[in-house]
Amino acid sequence: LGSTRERQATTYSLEKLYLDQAPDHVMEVMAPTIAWLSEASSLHKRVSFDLWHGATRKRAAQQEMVINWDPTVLAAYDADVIARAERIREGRSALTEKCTELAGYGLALSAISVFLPGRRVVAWRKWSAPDLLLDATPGKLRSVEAAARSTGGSGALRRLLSEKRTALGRLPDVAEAHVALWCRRPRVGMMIRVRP
Amino acid sequence: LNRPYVDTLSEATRLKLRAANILLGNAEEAAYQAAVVYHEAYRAEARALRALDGPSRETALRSLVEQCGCLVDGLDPSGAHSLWGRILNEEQRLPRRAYNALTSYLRDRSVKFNDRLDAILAKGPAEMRDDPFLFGITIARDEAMRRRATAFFTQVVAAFPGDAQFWMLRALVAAEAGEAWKSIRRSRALMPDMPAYEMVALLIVLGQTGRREYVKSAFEKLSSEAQPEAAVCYGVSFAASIIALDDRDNAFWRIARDASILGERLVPPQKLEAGVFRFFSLLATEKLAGREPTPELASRAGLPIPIGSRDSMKRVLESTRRLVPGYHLAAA
Repeated sequence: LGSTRERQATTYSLEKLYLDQAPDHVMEVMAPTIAWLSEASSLHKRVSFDLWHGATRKRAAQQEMVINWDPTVLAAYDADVIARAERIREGRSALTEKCTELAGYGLALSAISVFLPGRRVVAWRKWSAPDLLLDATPGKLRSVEAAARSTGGSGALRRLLSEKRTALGRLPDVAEAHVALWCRRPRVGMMIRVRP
Repeated sequence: LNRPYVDTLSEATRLKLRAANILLGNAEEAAYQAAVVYHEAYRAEARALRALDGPSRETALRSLVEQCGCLVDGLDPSGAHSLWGRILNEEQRLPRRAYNALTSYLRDRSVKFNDRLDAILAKGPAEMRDDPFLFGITIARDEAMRRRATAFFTQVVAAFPGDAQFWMLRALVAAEAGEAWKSIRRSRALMPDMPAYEMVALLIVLGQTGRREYVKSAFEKLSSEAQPEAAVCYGVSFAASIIALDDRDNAFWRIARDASILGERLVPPQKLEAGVFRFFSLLATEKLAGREPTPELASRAGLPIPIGSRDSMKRVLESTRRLVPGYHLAAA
């Protein structure tokens, strides 16, 4: 990965997702994303990731990505969302594979809204890479491959990045691919273009 | 841009996310409710592929992998196995690197999924280890065996609540009618398009009051359909014959005759199913002519049923269920 010298900060409010991405998809990822991001028993309203972002792996630079949310504004889009997030936490499923998976998509949607402004995810294909399609045109897929881990930090994400790059490199019908990776503890992330 | 394709993919996405959320909610029966939604997502993925005009092999394989994955997530081994076979058939038609890249994740997950299924089936009654599907259809009137089978299929659907065929088998072996209908409803909610439901319903209804009206109305519906299903023809022929024997009612022999003639037209003449339909129509014709047929009628129809000299006609009728498991007939 590249330089850490020029550190910038970016803030994104989760409620903006309802405008930036397909609302019916956002509605399904919001509660698990909030549940997964919240460390303590009460739901945090602001978290910060050390995020590697770049047009290529070698040119990636580290910056801070702050993610916050306003429960009152969120309730205007989905009245039950905070209660659902609380139920997920109380049910002790906030750290399960399913919650981590959905939070990974929620955070990827946020990163797409910040770093690829104006672009929307049209489909989620869970069983083959790439999983988030920005353009589903057969033979010319434009996409973001997303994943999240509960622990492991930068080392785990680097290994994951390497695996994802290799896998995406084998697919002839992918015209563009980014990788969005997240770790909950410590809070680190990557949003890196890997194709072309 | 193919708008119906993209819109249907988006719909499938919403359904997959919804199903995952249901699982997170920890509600009672969340696994079954999520499975129903994963099956809707599977159908949406299949519809999206059909919206494309001449999709490439990669695009078709991507869709098949996702459809199969939806059924793995939807805890449906029978459905997933069937799609996995179609995926395997694509192996020779794509470059190895691309094929492996598209299928490796599903393959890894399927191994664990199948191991779990094998572990559960291994605990089943000895009689069904070789062929659980056939067993479910042919389960005898032996009450002890029926209880063992019911307990077993209850365990199976608890582990795989998304498998429509297991729910149907549970319906067939259920000793209590309410449980049977509940299982049928669950099965149908998962896979609404399987024609075998009506057939299974006809078999279940035989043990209940109101069976005459049910069979009559099923026959009327069958007669009015533009594309009748062989499975339903079998169910009506069988159920009407049993009622005709029990009640000595020629109206039901006529239903059995007409339904079996219709069924025989729907299956290839060399298939066993055709012989089964021939048997029903010969039997009904003899009865309507006022003659008393013997069990050898089954041999005349070409059915490989060993007939004992003391076998009743009802026993011969029952034995046709061995020859025509609903799923095979439905697939035909």
